[in-house]
Amino acid sequence: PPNLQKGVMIAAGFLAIFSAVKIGYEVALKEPSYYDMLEVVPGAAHTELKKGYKQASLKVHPDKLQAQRNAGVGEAADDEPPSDEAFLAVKAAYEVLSDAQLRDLYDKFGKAGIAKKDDTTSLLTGLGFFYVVWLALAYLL
Amino acid sequence: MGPVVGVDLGTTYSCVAIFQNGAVEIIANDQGNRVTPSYVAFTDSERLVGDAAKTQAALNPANTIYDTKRLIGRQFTDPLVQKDMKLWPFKVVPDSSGKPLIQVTVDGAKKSLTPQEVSSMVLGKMRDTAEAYLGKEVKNMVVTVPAYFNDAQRQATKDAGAIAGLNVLRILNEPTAAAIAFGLDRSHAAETVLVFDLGGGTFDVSLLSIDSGVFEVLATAGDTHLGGEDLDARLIQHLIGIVKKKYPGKDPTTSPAAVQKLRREAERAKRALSTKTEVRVEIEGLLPGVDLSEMVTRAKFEELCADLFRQTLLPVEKVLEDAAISKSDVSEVVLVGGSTRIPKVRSMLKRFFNGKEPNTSINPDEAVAFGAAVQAGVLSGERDKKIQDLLLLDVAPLTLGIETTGGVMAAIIPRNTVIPTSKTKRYTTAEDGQVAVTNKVFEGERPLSQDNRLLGTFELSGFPAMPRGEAQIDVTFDLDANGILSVSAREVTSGTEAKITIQNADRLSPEDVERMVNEAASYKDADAQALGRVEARVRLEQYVHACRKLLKDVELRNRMLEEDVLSATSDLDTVDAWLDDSGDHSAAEYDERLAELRDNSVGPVFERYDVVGQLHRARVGLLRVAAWRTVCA
Repeated sequence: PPNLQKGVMIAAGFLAIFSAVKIGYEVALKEPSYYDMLEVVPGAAHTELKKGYKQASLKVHPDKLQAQRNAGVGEAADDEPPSDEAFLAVKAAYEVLSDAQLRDLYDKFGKAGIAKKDDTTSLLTGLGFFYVVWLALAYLL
Repeated sequence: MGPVVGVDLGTTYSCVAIFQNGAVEIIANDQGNRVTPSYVAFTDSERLVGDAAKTQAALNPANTIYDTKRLIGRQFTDPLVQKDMKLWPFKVVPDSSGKPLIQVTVDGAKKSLTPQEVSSMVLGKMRDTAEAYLGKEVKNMVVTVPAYFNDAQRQATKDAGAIAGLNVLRILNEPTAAAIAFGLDRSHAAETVLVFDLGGGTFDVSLLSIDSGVFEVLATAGDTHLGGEDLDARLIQHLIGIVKKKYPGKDPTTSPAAVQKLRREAERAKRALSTKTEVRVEIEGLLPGVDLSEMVTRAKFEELCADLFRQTLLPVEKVLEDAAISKSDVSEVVLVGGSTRIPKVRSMLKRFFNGKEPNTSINPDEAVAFGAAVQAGVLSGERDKKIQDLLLLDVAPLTLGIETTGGVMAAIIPRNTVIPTSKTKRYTTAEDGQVAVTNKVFEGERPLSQDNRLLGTFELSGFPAMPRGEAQIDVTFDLDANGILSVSAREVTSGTEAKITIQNADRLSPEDVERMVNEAASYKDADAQALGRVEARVRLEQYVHACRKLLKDVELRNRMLEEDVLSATSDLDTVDAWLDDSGDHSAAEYDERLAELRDNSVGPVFERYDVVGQLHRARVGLLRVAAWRTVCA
């Protein structure tokens, strides 16, 4: 019947728009992944991770930032020590990815998975709930 | 920012180096020595630092200070301080907050110095050494400390630099610095290196991975109170026992000068035993009527120190365990520190590593300063390929944590965490309307906080009153690249910055540092005065010398009237007698005598014979030598 066909089309269209918006939203908010920060591909082996960590540290370690500043010609001397922030971020990325269990969590749930690593059931429930709503919505439409 | 030097501030010796033109240079001091004794002495007229202080130690034992690295950042009641005090000829007393002060007598008046101040004098001497060599002002330094130094000891070392008017750009761990010296020019593939650093007073072991310029410390362990001095102490005790046995009723420990002589001879004997199998210790007149002459064999020395030697293997085991690396994965065992020359230490390590020969490719006395100079080059942004690719990733030596219910220590930053690091912990209130939270920060590896060292107590306040459990206070613990902790806090729900106060008995307040900086400056004045006095004396001596030389000139003597020769000679003799009669005179007095000679007595005589030009020439040459000598003095 045309009604059913129309319903399916509307549902499909709605889902397509919904996913597009959601993906677009996520992409817009997306921070560089831990893999991006270490400049390795997601499947990288441990030795590559380590190499990436060292290479990235060479660029952002506060010692190196201080060196760049001190070498900088004509730049005003600044007594404040350079920020540790970038290095701490790289280090956090390496710490997660070099731990098999944390890496697994990160691959599945992203940073949220690491933050709530002790509470994976709630993460799974949340994810399950999302899919259930999704299916129910599709059916209803 | 000017030159940045690297300084190895050792318990017994210090060393300074600089990275320039693509290479490290170890800078020799005014005596031409590449290492300088970490000694400070006070005589009635001046303050001596380095070789000059150590040379006169036996004559002036009570006012000759050394070993301050064993006091710095410690409490007076520390059992190790109490034990060391028994062998020190200088007096150590507690201040009002329980920190140790060194007491000396200057010009009949008692003077108390903090260990930081004494260390600042040694650092100042190292700066002067560098400045004399570079011909430039030095304001920035990288200073090394034992890797196992705690927060208070690091902070105190940094304060010592501040008191000397120096900016300590980085507190660097000694074994890490040594590793740089070892690894800088090695183009090897990735390797795992164990640095065994047994110095004069401290012992460190660090395990590192070195891979194309990146030095990553995997684990570190050690003992901040084990070194060559402890070996000397065993030998001293042994010799004291012999004296007591041979001369019943005589006790060398009652005389600081005798202990100082024993210390000097014990150190000499220990050094000799690294190459010889036996050595005779001879001290004539140790005490009135007591002469010591005793053969000490290497075997006896090893027996006396057996437990100390064994103790050095524990940190080695600990770092391997912490880093989960097996003995066979260690590619090189690098020896640093003078005490690693001892054959027993080497043979023990060799056996521990299943026959692997320890690596002795770096200079054990200079490697640490060498590495510090390289790191100084890194931080100052030196444009050099080796330096630009070099990066140190060091770790925290001790676990930092807070005390929780029941006195249990909750780790916040575990040991061997890469520094700098930052950890945030959330606290809440336990009672309704509570507006302050107090926490104690501890440092150490024991599960109960009472067994660890209290770093400080911090109080959070300034957030609004809330029902209990509702306030969420994020406390951030930052451990910087120097291994020094700072704490900050924020209340999350209200968004207010919580005020944080750290009461830490071990840190000098900025006011204290300020006061000591001013005192150090007054020493500088006194030093300048002493230098002025020496220079004035030299000027006078040189003038007298030049005159005498002229009087020996045959051509002139033939022209001179006999009475002129006699009067000139007698005037010169008077001045020489006045000079010999010693006693320190002021610069003005020397200059007055010089003016008298030049303008009224000898000078006019020579003028009559028209040889003042010659006198002047001779003096200019001599003065150059003299000026050079005074700069070195």
